[in-house]
Amino acid sequence: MVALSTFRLGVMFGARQVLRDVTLARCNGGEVVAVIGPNAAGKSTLFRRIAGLVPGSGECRIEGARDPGRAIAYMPQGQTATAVLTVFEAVLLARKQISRWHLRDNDLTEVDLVLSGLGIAHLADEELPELSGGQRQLVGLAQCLVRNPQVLLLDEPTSALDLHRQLEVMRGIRNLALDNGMLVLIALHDLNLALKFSDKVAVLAEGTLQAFGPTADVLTSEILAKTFRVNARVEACSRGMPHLIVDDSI
Amino acid sequence: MSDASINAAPIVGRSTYRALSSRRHFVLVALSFALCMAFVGDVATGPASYGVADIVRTLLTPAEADAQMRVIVWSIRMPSALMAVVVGMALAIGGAQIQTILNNPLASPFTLGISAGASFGAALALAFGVALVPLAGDYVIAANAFAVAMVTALLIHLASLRRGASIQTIVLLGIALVFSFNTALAITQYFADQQAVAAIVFWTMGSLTKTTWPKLAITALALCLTLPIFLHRRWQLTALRLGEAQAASFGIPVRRLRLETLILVSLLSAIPVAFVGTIGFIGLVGPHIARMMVGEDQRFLLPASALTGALIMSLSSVLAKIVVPGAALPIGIVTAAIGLPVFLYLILKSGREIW
Repeated sequence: MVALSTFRLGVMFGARQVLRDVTLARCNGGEVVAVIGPNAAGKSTLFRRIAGLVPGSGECRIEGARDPGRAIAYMPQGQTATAVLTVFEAVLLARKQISRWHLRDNDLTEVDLVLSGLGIAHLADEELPELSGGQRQLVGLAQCLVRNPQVLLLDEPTSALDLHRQLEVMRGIRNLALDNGMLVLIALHDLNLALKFSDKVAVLAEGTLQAFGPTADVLTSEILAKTFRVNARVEACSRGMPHLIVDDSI
Repeated sequence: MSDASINAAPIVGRSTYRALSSRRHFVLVALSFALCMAFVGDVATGPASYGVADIVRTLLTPAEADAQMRVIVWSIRMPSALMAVVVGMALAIGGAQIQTILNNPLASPFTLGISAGASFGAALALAFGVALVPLAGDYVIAANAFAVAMVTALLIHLASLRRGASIQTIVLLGIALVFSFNTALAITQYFADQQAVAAIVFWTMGSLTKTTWPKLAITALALCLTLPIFLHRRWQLTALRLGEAQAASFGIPVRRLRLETLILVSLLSAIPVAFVGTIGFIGLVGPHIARMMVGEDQRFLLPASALTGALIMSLSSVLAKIVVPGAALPIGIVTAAIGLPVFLYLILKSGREIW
């Protein structure tokens, strides 16, 4: 089972410290960890630091990886490709970064399976510039999954999806983690999605970790007031499911 | 992705992808055939008129051909016809790659100042006999052109390393370099004697007439050295078109890939320009036409760009020889004259965005 821990991760952009001493104790395969925080809290930078895309201080340790160099797949936010590539080609392209030089039947099969799994097989022949924002997010997710990662870093993968798709994708991610023992770190703005689908929550603000732990322990009125400056409470609905209710801004 | 986590769905993407690939292979075959025809036409065209059948026979069995015809075909026309093919391939591949790494449809060795730098370097040798590269001997013009082109590429790279330098900044720097070198070229011409000015003007228009086998061999060598590297990195280079963040998320060392590609493109652009002068249009239009036919996948885009560039150059070479009977127009004029309308026609006719 894969496990990820970070110890005092830090990133400087010039003289500005955008991430400071972020320590996430052991996150295990099979878990979904929501990373939340206001705008410019450092969520994307944390993901980029874990993925090794930006230099910085601290240590990121992955245990139990089949191939440590290929264990992580990162989906950046806001993808705006203008390339004249079909969806099938774009996903195949992601696949070919980790597989052999020559195109094999196995590569094509994997692409088909991932597209089908995400319910976007019908988009296979569409060109990227013709896709909606939500469709592009699903293609971005497919580009991650086709690489068979053990750790998935998803930066706001549901921000452009409609309600139905948001739930569908989050449920798919939840199942991926459970079925494949994959660890999923996901940046979210919708705290109800975090409440519903995550096992743990990490709260970031101004580049520092404010709280980290089981979802029910972290998503409290006090932490939300301190981090997001809102009066909010978690209450059980008539079906017994926890829901976040925001009363007002502070 | 495990079978457990996916829905059962018909596998259709693979078959349509295969069909798309077959169509692209067909385009490559058709382009190759058209290039062969244009090449034979190029060799057949000249002051002495020969039939295509005679030309093909002389090309395939030179020992059995008439001695005079053999000399004309193999010693005079073949080097320049092959040079047209090689230069067209080199410039178009260079253009395709520079558009890819800068993610900009207007980028080409010409628009980034690499060609203008080469022209200025050549002009220094033509006007004042300045040799920027020691021991260049008979190749002083080419060596100067190459040296300044490489310095230009280095400048562009250094600018790209600056913090906050965007791709737009680099393209704007390239445009500034074009104007700077053109100004420097004008100053050089102002102080040069009349004979040197004529030589500079002729050189900047581009010409295949002074092609020799050694020049052809050097240009072909540059192509043979760089093309396999580009082909080896085809998946990474294609991924660059998805954007820097996306490519980096695939684990591609974007900055290093850009630098190495820029150096190779400079080599690929500077050497042809050094030998045949400024031919600006191929590097811009060749890749665009190829992209419209085969898309962005470099496994197809690279050969299609090469074939398209070579085809335009060969056809231009034929036209250059027949427009004014008995004289060869500078090929740079012809490439622009036929390339631009073709490009506009394709853009307007295709009715879809090409970038």
